[in-house]
Amino acid sequence: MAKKTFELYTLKNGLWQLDCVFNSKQDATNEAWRQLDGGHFDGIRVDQEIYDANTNSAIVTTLLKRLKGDEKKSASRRSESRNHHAAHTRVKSSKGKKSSTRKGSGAGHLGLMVISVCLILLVFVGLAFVLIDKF
Amino acid sequence: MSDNSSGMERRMVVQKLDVWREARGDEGVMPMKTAIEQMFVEIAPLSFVLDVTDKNEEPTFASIGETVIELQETDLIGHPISAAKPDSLMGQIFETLSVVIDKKVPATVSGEFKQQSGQKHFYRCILMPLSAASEKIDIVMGAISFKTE
Repeated sequence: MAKKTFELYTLKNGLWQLDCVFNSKQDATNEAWRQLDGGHFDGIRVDQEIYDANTNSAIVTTLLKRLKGDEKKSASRRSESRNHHAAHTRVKSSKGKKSSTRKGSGAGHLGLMVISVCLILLVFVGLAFVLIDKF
Repeated sequence: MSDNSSGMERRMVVQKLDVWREARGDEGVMPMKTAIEQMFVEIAPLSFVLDVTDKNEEPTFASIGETVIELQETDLIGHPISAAKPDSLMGQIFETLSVVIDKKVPATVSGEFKQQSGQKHFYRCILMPLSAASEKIDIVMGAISFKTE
């Protein structure tokens, strides 16, 4: 039977260190925010680990990750992050195989590119009108 | 004895976690002496101690507080952890014990259980690895807070 645990990691001097293990996601995220708000660490991370004893492998998913620089934004993002899973999933096995997948949104980048191209075209059209007026 | 506030119930675990963090020092593990001085006297009735000195042997109960014995309805002192019935309090809280011993970090467990009388309890438990002198884990101290439905 698969066993699910939640691991709280803290970042200090560039090193992530396992701080505590929880059997409740809510307890783990509450404690993570408390540690970040306490200001003793440079960052916090909560990993969900689903361990399958039959295959001796575990699926690890990072549920929450915040660095000290994000602190000001953290309060407004708390409710969002509590419902936002699978930022980064990896599989650990006894043979040490690792794989990773990352979800990302390309829509935002595409929109920015379209706006940039339109602005450049507008600048060229403006310049063309100025030149036509002069000559 | 029951605690009717889930906030208070959570606070006990968080308080002990903070004490453990502060006391672990450079060795990375809280010394037994500090734990006994700073925690054990205060939480004795709601605590238990597991002897995990021998890695090849199953952990055994070295001591159990009187309130925990009342909740468990059996005195398990001197017995291995497998002696606890699976649906009892002590039968539920050791899922993460191997992580506590191997990775030398505390673990918290929350859940519920029913006594033979049918009375239901919600509990939170913290398991803390402690060392006698070196980095080696010699005992695991547990502390429980609970409320009765």
